Amino acid sequence: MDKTYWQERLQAYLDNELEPADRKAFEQHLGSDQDIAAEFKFMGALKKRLSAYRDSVSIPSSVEQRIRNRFGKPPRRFASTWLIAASTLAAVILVALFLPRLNAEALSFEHSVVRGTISCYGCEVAQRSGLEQGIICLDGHEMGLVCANGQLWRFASDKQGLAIKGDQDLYKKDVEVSGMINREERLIRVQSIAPLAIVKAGIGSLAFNR
Amino acid sequence: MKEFQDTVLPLSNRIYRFAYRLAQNERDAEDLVQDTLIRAFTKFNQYQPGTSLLAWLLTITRSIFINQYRKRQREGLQVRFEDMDIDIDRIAPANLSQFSENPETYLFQSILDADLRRAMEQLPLHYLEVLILVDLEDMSYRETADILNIPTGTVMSRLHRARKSLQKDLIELGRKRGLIKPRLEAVKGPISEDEVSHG
Repeated sequence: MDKTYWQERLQAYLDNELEPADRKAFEQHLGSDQDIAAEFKFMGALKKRLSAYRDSVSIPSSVEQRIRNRFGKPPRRFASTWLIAASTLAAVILVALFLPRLNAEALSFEHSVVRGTISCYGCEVAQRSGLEQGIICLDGHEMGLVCANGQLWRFASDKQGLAIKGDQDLYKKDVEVSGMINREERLIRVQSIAPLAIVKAGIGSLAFNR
Repeated sequence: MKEFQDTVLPLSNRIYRFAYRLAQNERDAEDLVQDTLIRAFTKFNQYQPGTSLLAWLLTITRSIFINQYRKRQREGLQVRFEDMDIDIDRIAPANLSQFSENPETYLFQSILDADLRRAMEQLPLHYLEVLILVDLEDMSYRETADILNIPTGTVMSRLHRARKSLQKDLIELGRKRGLIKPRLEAVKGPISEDEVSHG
């Protein structure tokens, strides 16, 4: 792989756009390529500086006034710090609303099979709420399950569930999950999880090794 | 009308920010925002709920800008890049100990917004718009690709070239200001510890 390949990967890594396997591959390469390591430091600093530049432009009040006159309602405008604070608060509220009750024992479960794609639970919540990407996942991504009908499921925090939630290699994998589910809280206690392709091929319950 | 007011108008500031960064002057940015809102209003029934409203609006902004940009090129006019900030270079402080966390931090602490803006003005439009969307508007590669109607791989490569171009310009600026030791050879990559002047 040539230098440009790794330089482009570097950019995608900084933008959190690499798949988990590609992230690992890049991190391994980073440790063995001094040029890329130096570029990584520079580009990281550049990205940080551009972030600081982001909010240096805002809509002038005269333009707001014209929009108000034309469309009859003032645009809601917040200072960037207020926007961040409000987004964070909204994120906290949404997480609180979306999160299943901590005491899963109090919920009633039924046995079922759920098919879907493994995705980051927090990122899905943020995206669906129009919040800034990653704002809920500041402490790391936690895997959840998105069904074809858009339903978002969360794994229970038992041993099996915790292993899946922290396994970024599962990201974007189409899977079939068998276990006990609570429909109201969209919570799954996993008994087995297998790649959907294998299930469809009728090869049996060749579950992910965990 | 109410839905438009409730959903689109709160995004006016984001539209303006994008428009300003594309047009690089206030007057054109204002026109772009108003044209975007009018077009969004008339085509609001074409917006698909569940998709990113901001991405849809920025697609409209960009479309209007590109049409104006092409028209101006046909008419032989240049897009105005008004220099609105006073051109004052930051003087490197005598006591550099506070900046010596690493060379990159030191360099970027000395780079003004106006420096960044000028460096961005040098970028070709197809690099600039990717940089604006990803770095200044926090769009994902997928959203950026959708807005620009290009593959995500192209977003990645254009972004790489845009940032490399900024890197080259900012290192050059750092050299001119004595933040980085001048060298005879061409700028070819990131700065290293020994390239930074420590007073």
